[in-house]
Amino acid sequence: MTRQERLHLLSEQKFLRERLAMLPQGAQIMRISTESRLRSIEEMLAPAPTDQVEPARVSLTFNGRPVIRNHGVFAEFGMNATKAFADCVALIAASLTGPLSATGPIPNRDQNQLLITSTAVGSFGFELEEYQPGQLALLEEETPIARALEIAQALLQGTQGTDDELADSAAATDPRAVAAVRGFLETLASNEAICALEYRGKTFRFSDVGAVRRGLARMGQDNLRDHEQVLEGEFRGALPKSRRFEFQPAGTDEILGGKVGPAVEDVDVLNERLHQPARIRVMVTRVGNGRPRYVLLEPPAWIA
Amino acid sequence: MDVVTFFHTPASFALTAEDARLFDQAVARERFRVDAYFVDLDQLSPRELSFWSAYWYSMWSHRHSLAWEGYLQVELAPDEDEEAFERLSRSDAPGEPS
Repeated sequence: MTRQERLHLLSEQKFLRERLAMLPQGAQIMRISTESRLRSIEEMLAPAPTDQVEPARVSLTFNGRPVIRNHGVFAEFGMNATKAFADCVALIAASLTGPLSATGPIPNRDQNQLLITSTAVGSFGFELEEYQPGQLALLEEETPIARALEIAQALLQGTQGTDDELADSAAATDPRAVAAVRGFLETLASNEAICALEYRGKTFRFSDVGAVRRGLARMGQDNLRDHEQVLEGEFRGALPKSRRFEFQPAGTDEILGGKVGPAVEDVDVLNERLHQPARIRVMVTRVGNGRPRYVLLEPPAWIA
Repeated sequence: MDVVTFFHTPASFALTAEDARLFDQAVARERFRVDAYFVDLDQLSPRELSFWSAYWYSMWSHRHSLAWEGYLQVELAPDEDEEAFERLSRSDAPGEPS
């Protein structure tokens, strides 16, 4: 039982207890009926709450040429755009556990699925929910989908912000996932559509099709560039929780700051060998003329 | 299926122990395969009746996703009992239309 379902039952239980107290003596049939409903609620509430998280839920709505007010959305566009969005989320989620290969099936696709649970109220679109097969996740764990939705929203937001904002979101995202977000924007732009994404109380919305096109251009490969680079130098420090590192390339005074990618599981390994010569492979991401972002792609090679 | 009966109590009605069992949700479910609930129109104050109406209308007409669920209103007309009984008897199995 999710927390939400439990809250529903608790509020119903409170309501029925109050009504029961107000039932007159003569209302015997209602008393029997109400007491039996209360008993079944109490049975459902009997097991201790397990602090299971609600599945992540997101509302994706569309507007523009393929949308006929709040009556409907053309099926072909609705399907393509929703699939493009689901691909972005599945790719970002998969990239959280390891680097993605450039092509081929999306890893863990079955575990990173979204369900369409309803049409979204307001403008036309869909309510999407993380599919949690079997056991629900425990409260302290954030599921890959929940995290992926946050990253997807930050990326879309980043296309409308400064070069640095876009670089921050893009650098933390696998290039293949970035390409999928580009694909989603292409679907919107080529159909003269815009979208809004509401997640965890935050809403991102493209103001018009021009904003989608500008976003697409900013995410284009000539503006958002990333390439792999091998550097030699030494680590100056690493933060295990935020997974950030500082690295000084050999023969320079410069200190590069960057993120530790998912392929390096234990960040403390870096702290154990500070100031030792190392060779690292990083992904360098740059937007426009902004400063580059670095992501450590694999465990460093220590140069003896 | 949920069945909510809004009823008037006949003046001569006296609740027997067997009747009382039938108004228990668990017993009705076991015997008739419905979740049956009751609202006594003669016993409730207008204030209480409005609470119960809101309860049945809001809470039970939606799923948790807020999608509407339909209600079918059936008048309990004793003069139609015979026809209803005949139609039900023509059904091959519980829940199957004739």
